[in-house]
Amino acid sequence: MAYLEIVGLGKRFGGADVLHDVDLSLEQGQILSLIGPSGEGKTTFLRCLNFLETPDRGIIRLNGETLFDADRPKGRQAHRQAFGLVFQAFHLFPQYTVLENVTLAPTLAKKGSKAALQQKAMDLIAKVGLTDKANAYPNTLSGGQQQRAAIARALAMEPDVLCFDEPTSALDPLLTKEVLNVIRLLKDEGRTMIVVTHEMAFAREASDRVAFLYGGTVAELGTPQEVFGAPRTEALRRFLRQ
Amino acid sequence: MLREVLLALLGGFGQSLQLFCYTLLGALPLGLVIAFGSMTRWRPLQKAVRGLVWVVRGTPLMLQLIVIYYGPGLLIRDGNLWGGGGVGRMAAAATAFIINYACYFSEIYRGGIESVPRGQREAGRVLGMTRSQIFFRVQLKQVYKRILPPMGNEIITLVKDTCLARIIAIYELTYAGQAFIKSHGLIWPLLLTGVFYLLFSGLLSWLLGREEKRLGYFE
Repeated sequence: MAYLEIVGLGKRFGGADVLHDVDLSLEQGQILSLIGPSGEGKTTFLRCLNFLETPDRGIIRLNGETLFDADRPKGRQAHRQAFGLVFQAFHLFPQYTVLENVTLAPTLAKKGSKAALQQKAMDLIAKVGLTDKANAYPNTLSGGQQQRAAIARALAMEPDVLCFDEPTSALDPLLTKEVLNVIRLLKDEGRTMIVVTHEMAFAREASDRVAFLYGGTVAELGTPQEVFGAPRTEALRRFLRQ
Repeated sequence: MLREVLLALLGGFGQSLQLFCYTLLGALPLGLVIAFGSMTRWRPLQKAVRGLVWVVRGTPLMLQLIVIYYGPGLLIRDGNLWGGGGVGRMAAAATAFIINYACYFSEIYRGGIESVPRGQREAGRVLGMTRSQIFFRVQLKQVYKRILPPMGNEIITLVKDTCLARIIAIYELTYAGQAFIKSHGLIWPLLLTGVFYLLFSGLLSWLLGREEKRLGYFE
């Protein structure tokens, strides 16, 4: 049984199937890249994993534990903090410094003593290369720095699976590179990640699995070699030609 | 004469200031409660609260003062809720002002809360924060920064609205100044009240401006 298993996930908005019959699995320590045209359900899928949307159908299982099962009554779901999410637009808390952004949620969740959480936050901030900006406010940072701070903030809650929703779409090529480098670093640490991205070079070279979402479901799934080297559907061939 | 006038005006200003302070103390928290009521997803409550805001904002404060002060006595036999003295009149005036200003404040709060980007709430949620943690630790300060300018406007208006309380015979600043026309045939004491209002609203503007500057470090 795989580390992360998603079976038959579906989500409707106003009578339209935005997602349907999404089956995906991922081993621990792997990166899954989600590619595909805009509006085909990639973001909705990540929002379902993070319970920003409640799926209408399907099962989410992590490490053998069922986190979500649409057939269970409401309120009987195990809303454990299993996933983390890094947004396209960062969404840092503007009134807090980088350090405060990183420590806020773990402090409220009482994840440890103040000193221990501070230390851990500084370690994470160092990891994303922002030590000299730890006491800076978000509006003084570049987009790339803000996104790296947001990654440190998400890591502070120790998610089992970290999700990225087009983490570089708001950035220019240079800043894109520094954010992607952080994601590569996390891969080397063995973190399990799901990345929605339009950076095809990154998806090809850094991910273990690639899923092509089309028409609200997984149209192709495989290794980067399979998906990029030998696309089976016309939709993927057309998407890759662009 | 000047001494006599100044003493009278200071006494009137004391009454105005009292009403000003009671109104802020009551209306700032009550406005937040009303704002939450008008944003609730429970339709009946939302409708009722929005109806209240409509009535209060749609009728003159002076009329509301009269209704609140005389209403109970007219409706119920021996229903003189407020008592006859100055304390009772001040309590009635404060009640009317609090309800009136809370409704205006509630709309400012609502605008402020709704203007905080949705991403802030979602970021809090994916970090495992509860609804109240998100409100108090993430949204509140951003709301506060956004509502400060319109709130300052309302507070300055309140300084001058206190003179409406004379309609239920509260001896506030304007009333105190005007009294010299009848008693001594003098107009300048009334004009002098303008200086009191100007100085007080000037002080408030300065304080509000300082607070806005203090919050300038984030956007």
